[in-house]
Amino acid sequence: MSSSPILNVPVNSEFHSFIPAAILRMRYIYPELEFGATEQGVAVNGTSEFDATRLEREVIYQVYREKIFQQTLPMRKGLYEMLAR
Amino acid sequence: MQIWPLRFRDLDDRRTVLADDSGAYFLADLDFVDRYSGDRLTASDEKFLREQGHAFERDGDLAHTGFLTRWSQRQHVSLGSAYVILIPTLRCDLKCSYCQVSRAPTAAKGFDWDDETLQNVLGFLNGLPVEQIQIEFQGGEPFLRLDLLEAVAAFARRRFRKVRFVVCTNLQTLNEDIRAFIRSDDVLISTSLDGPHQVHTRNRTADPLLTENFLQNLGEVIDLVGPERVSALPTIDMEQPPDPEALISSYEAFGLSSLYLRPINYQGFARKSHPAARTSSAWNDYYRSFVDVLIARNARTGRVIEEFYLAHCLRRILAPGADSHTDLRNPNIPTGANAVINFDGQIYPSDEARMLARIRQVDLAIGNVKDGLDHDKLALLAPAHINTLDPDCIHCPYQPFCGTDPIDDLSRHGRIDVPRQESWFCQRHLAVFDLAIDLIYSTNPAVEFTLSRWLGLETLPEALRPAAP
Repeated sequence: MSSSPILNVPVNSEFHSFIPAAILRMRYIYPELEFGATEQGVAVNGTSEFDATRLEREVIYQVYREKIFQQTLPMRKGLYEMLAR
Repeated sequence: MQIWPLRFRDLDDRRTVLADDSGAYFLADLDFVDRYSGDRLTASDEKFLREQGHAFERDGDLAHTGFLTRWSQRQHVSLGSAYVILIPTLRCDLKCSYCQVSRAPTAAKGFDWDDETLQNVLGFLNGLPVEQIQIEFQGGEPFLRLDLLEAVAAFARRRFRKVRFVVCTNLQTLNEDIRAFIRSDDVLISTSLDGPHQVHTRNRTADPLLTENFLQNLGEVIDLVGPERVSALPTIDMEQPPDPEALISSYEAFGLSSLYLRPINYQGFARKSHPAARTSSAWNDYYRSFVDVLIARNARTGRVIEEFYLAHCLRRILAPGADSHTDLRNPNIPTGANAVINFDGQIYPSDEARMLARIRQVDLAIGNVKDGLDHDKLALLAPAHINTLDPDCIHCPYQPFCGTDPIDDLSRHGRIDVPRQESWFCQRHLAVFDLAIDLIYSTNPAVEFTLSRWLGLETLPEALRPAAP
């Protein structure tokens, strides 16, 4: 990160393995912001025009979404396999 | 207990809307998402999810089978009937500022089907693997070639078990032959009414006398066939949007009980003179304020006017199978049974695709009536017409109710892989579905009055408003 972050979002350690995927996704959704993994969670850099509360929640949600997506992927695959039978 | 994946989105600062892949939705407070994602659901959370069909114990148990049934109904669109748009002529006797396809002047040559094209169109229709069809005549002004409409209608009534025709007309001309054509029970009229006299004149006719003529003809057609066989829709110019009350009054004056608010289409030539068509926020704000006015008015007058698109979105939320509107369904894969045949015999997957070809942005023709469908092109277009596994949509609670519009994405961005949230289609539909969910959960008697009437219910059952404890 080129300068001090505008936002540090603490993320519970149980979710840390999903942070890289969430960051990849957030870089695509918010190309004007920079996201980086820290020991505590996610640091956000860039314009401060964003509502910090909403942005923090959005970061948390993206991490949650990656966790749910990865953990439930076998269920979804099972649905389509059933449909293809 | 296993929980089917839940998608979530904050509806406001207090409430989150969640839905599973079958479209079963509920509201929860913001903490629910933290508990769900962190595997810390309470006993009452789990009880709620079990009771609402979001969870099951074992493969094949009743809850599992019930989910599969609901989910599978969201994975396909019934193909029992065809919906084909025919453009027998591109000529038109009006010159609306936002004409999508650059109509041709009435005296122009080469913008109508010739005899060979007509025969090929009939041959194409004959080959469709369906027994039911809706044929929509567009233009141009289709009544300029009533002979072609009559030829198609005569053929279709013989060929198909069930057939319905919709003539999209500006109703500037009405003569005995046209009256005879529209008297048939299987003919519906669709026209544009942009609002009060001066708004319609500004947007469409540019001449108060022509507007007067149109309004007179609209009244006569409604008297002739009844309001139930006539639909009208306003196209909204966001640079000068009509006052909602005045717009609704202009419809009610003709006994019309439904209107379908449409923004100026960005495809085609409209973009040149209406740059506001590019932004979604102004549209979403106007749309919401219009719905607020409509709901208050319905409650005040006791007469129920419907905004078609919101009512349609509500129906899509509440049950699978509301797939009659081709602009919003999933999957929406282009086929010959859901196509547009242009004045030159070219076949397009949608009217919007026809516009992109007309302005020479990209040729999305999927064949022509002489040589048939181009199956390679159909296969190329198919994946973009499914939202189910889209990397953005898969996280959205509204995906089971929503659709895609790659043609609009292509038109605005020159590509179809922009992040969904940046697309006009997504922004518009997030706003519509947010509004729909907000209304479903509203306890305002005026809202309940309108929604229950739109849905054909006496009252809105509490079962439509599941909320996590």
